[in-house]
Amino acid sequence: MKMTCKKLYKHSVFLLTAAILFFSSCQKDPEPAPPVGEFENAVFVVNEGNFTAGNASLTYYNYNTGEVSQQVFYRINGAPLGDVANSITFDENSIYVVVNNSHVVYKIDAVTGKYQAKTTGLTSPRHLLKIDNQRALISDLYEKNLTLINTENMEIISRVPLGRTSENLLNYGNKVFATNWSAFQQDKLNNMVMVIDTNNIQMVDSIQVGIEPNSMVLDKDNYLWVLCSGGFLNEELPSLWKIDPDNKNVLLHMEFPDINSSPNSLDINKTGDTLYYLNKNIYRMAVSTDQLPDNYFIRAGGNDSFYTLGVSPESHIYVTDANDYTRNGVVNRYNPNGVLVQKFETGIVPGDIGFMY
Amino acid sequence: MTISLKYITCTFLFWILVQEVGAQMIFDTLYLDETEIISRKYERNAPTKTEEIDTLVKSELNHLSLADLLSAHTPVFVKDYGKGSLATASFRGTAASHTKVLWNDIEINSPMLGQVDLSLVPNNFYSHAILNYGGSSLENTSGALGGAINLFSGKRRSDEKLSFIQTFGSYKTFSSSLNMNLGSRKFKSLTSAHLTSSDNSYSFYNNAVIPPEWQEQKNASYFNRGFTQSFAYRLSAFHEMEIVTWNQWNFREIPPVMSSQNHDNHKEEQTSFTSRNILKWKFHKKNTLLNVKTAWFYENLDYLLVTATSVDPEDTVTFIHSVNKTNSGFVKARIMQVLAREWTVSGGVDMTFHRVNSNNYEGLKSRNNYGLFLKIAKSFSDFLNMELMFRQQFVDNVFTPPAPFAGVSIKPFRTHDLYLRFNANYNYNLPGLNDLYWYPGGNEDLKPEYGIQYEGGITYVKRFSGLIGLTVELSGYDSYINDWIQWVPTDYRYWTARNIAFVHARGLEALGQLYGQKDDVIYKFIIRYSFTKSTNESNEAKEGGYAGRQLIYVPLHSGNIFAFLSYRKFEFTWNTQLTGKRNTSLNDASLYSNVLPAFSLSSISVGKSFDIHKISLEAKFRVNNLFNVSYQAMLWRPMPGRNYELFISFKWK
Repeated sequence: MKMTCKKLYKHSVFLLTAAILFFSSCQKDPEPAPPVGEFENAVFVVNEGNFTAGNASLTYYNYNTGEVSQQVFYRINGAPLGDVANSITFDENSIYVVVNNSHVVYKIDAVTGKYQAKTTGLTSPRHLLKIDNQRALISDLYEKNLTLINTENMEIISRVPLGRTSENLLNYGNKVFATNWSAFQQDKLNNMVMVIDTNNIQMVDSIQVGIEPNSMVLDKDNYLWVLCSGGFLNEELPSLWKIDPDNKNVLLHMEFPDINSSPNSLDINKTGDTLYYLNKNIYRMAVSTDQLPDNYFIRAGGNDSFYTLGVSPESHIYVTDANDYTRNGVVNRYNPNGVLVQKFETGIVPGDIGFMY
Repeated sequence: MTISLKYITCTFLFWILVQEVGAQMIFDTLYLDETEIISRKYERNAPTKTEEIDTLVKSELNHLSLADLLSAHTPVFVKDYGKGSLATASFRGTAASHTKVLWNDIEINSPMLGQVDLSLVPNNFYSHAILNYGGSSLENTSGALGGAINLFSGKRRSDEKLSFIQTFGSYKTFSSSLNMNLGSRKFKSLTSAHLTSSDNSYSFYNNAVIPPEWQEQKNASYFNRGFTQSFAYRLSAFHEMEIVTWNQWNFREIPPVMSSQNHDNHKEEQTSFTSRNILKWKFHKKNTLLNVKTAWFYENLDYLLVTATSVDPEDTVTFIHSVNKTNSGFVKARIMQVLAREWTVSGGVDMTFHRVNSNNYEGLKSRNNYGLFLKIAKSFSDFLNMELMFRQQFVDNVFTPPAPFAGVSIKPFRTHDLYLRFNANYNYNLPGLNDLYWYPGGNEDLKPEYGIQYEGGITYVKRFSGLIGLTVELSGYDSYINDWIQWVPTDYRYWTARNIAFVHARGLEALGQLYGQKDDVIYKFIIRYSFTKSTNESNEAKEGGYAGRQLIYVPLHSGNIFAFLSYRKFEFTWNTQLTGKRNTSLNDASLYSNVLPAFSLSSISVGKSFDIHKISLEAKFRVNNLFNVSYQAMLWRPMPGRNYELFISFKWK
């Protein structure tokens, strides 16, 4: 076992060389991203990811074939979607994705998904609404303005003062309705729907609803339905409102019985006669009724935590489940009778669903 | 990269071969008070894995933080948000709160978070650091389910009376370190001071935005300064008193994630002040050692987030100001008695009191913790060592279950320094006060996490003719942590802490070390490798389909090498650290952004010293991230590329 100095040096030199080369050569390239084909029959799920983790993503689902592709924004554009993606909107040629905590709205090609342009200079963007062929409004969680942009180049045209923060946006005739969901950064109660005239891009009116209006739709008779959760700290009973958007009259005001419940994700089928919303379970009601349904339409399973709901043009109900918020979520797709058609995986915290057809 | 690497390697090897070798210096000669030698035997025949951080390695990084030292030179994994940013340590596949950091035996983990920010621990503020792996930590503290790091202030025989190091680095990074040792046989004064600041405005290629572009890191500066002071007085041949204080003021900006496209109206920063003060009394007579320490720690941590609208920088839209003040008191008493026939008995009591005033809690919160510790050790000449330990805690009027430890080490051959060791233990980690009381989401019904760990290891030490030594060590462990605390979402819009996971962590740690000297040449070479498999095996994980998947930010493979060579007054060091790929989510690794790729970082330094009587001057040049590797330690947090440091040091022996 006696080792001479010389031998030892040789050993040490060999070890040193081997180790340095081994350790220094361990730098690996990222795995190549597999290509994504052209979008067809596309349903998109916007995955928020975790706040400040930068792991938002976009899931593409072909509703015809049932195929699912994850991380399509990253795979097509080579960059992550960003931090807390919030919503998705479409026009004929483009897809707009609002990435809240990256303070950006991306415009990508509706067929290839390739990056086209972006809007920066935003504070906390939430939703985008096209108001004509060339312009769109962007709502903001913290700013008391809407931002008007040119959708050709995505550059900001102007800011539209609201006096309140904004969330959902809905177009009716030459009016845009904007909900005031968050009470953050305002001394007023967050219980308004603001009305913006798209001719002169100015706020012209507002309608008082319940606290924290979180979603709204227009039905077949052009009545506006607004769902209010009752507040972050459950300040009041949640409520559903039916409003005539022409004269701003409140036609119906229905309160939910449980102050601790937090209904959200109001949506409507394509024919505009049936409302859907989440209140732990999935509920539906005809627009012709004036009472909230007592019974759920689809019950959430024991491990389900339904997060967002969307109704497709063929009246299939898509509902996301964020699981434990730290791993990938899932979407359950139900047919109009409430029968589960397919369950597919999404990214982390699936928060919005968009139907591009 | 490969060409330059080969070139450098060849040059280095050539240099080794052509030099004449000589003998002059012995590494790791550690001088401690005799009482310390009795109380701290870091012997190879201990039944536990305990390791002192190499003095040479430490002196190389004395101007940096403990985070830099651990990540480059130990198997401890450091989760690092960027230079100067938050850095936490995890041993053996566990969480940062399962790593306890002690300063002179008193735990400095924040009672709120349960962890320590290692980037705020300057290396020149302690003289030596001991790593206690797994169960070996039970002697000093409880709850270190992964391990503990014990930092000691004190003087080494080799220490200079005065030393001052000034560094100038890239990105306007400056640091000044001062250490001063004064005193007589009876009285000693040790002073250290540290000041570091950086703009930290390094360039990085931001591929998290479209189109990708080179950017300068913003809002990432830091400015930390502090001092430690110790006065020790030997009252008699048997008694010694010491008072030691560590005071530090820290400021850091917190940079945004790479995908953020709105830098200008964002301000996020953290300011903190810590004051840690210990009074020690030590009695040592014949075979009895009595050690009593009382301490008071204070921490004031302010977090501020201010954002304005993109329209008006004066129009603030987010304003979060979190103010957290912590007062902690400690009493720690130990008595050790060496008995006949190589029996040793030691015991002690620990008392810890925390008071936290935070605007994130509803009212003042506190924790009172009383602990009892017993240890019996027995040696059968050189052949066999046995240790039994027992720790019992009484926390806020509730007994936690007892934490026992049993270990044995064997030296099978009288003529060879080969040691085998085995141990097993139970341990309990209390929830952090944030887990209990954070509003909203804190859960006062949380149970302590408890772990069971088994460990085995083999160490072989060989001294060759002359002054050449070789150490080879291999350790394996298997541990189970129950009731692992995680924050999970609720039906309301906040998250809450729950005992949810059952984690199985197992792995191997290998170490090879060679050192020697001949004539004027001194060399040292250390290589380490760790294999860490840490998975959640709870029912929730099984139902969710992610049981068996590696926990996030725990690399399966990691390692490092360190090479040192000196010839007369020249010295050269090389360090490479490897971090294997890490999961960033519980999901399948097939998707790109769920996995961060492996990276290796290398640094070199070249120095020359000059001696003029008792004064030694040294100039050193260091290159970090030598191969300009673009990497992320945390997802979408940029790290600096190749950067440089120039040191000038002045030492008065």
